[in-house]
Amino acid sequence: MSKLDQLPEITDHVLSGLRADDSLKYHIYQKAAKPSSSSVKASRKPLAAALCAISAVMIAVFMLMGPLMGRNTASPDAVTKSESTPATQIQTIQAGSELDQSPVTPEEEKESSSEEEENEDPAQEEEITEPSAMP
Amino acid sequence: MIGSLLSLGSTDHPEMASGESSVSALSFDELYERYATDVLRVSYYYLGDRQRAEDVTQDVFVRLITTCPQLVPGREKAWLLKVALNRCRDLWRGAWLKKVVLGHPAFELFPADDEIGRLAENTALAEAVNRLPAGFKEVVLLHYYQGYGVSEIALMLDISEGTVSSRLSRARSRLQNDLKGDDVI
Repeated sequence: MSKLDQLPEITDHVLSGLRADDSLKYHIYQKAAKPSSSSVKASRKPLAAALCAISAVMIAVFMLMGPLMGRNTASPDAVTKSESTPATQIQTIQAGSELDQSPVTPEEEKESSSEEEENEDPAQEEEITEPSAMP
Repeated sequence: MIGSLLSLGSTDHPEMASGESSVSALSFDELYERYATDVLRVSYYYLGDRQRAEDVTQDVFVRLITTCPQLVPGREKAWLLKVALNRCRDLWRGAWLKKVVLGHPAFELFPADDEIGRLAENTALAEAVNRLPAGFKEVVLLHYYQGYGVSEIALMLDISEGTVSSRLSRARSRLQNDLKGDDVI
């Protein structure tokens, strides 16, 4: 009889202290009573998928909105609109009035005053005086 | 209670479980008393780690409770060992890197107190079987330790009978080389 054929007896000798006892059985009962980890994982899957979908949608929205918002600020219409607001009009007029205050020769003053009398109307003069009263 | 559950469940191993009326009448307690130690020792031979072997045994019997397979009478142990070997294989593959980096765990022996005197002469073979590659170890344990025939092992491991015979032959020659001077075969 070969030694391999004696493996059951040999194993009984060398591993005779290794036995499935009652404590292991108790652990089995405990583990079987708990919900399996696979079912817990399965219940987490839809939640994780929903979160991924939401984040993907949000990223896509931001990616689409970014270029659109950039276009709005860079478009020529927007520039003209912003320039034509009352505040910018006042600023440009103020800048013009400052230029007018620069020293000029009496001849130039006469010419310019005559031109102003011809071109300017009283409404614009009112607009010029209004911002100077502001702090 | 659990014994009654065993006759109601699914059949995930058709060759060892049956949908017919011949369902194993053994209760969980009876199956545990008869086969749990064998499952534990085969797992220990395979993994060389007592804690993991106990975990595998636990998983096997938890699966028995939760999946409730309709076991064919006389094939209960085959089903348990098949599930245990599958689990061991998973753990063995999972721990491959650890084994390579940290080395193979020492095959510790657990003799009963009155068996220590006769221990020395049998340790060499047990350790040599533990050192065999996983594929060889499976067939050696099922054939020489559990007493299954080649065709039954082929059925359990989903491999051909020729492969089982080949693995047994190569395992024997490896053991012969490993245990020089001892009459293994």
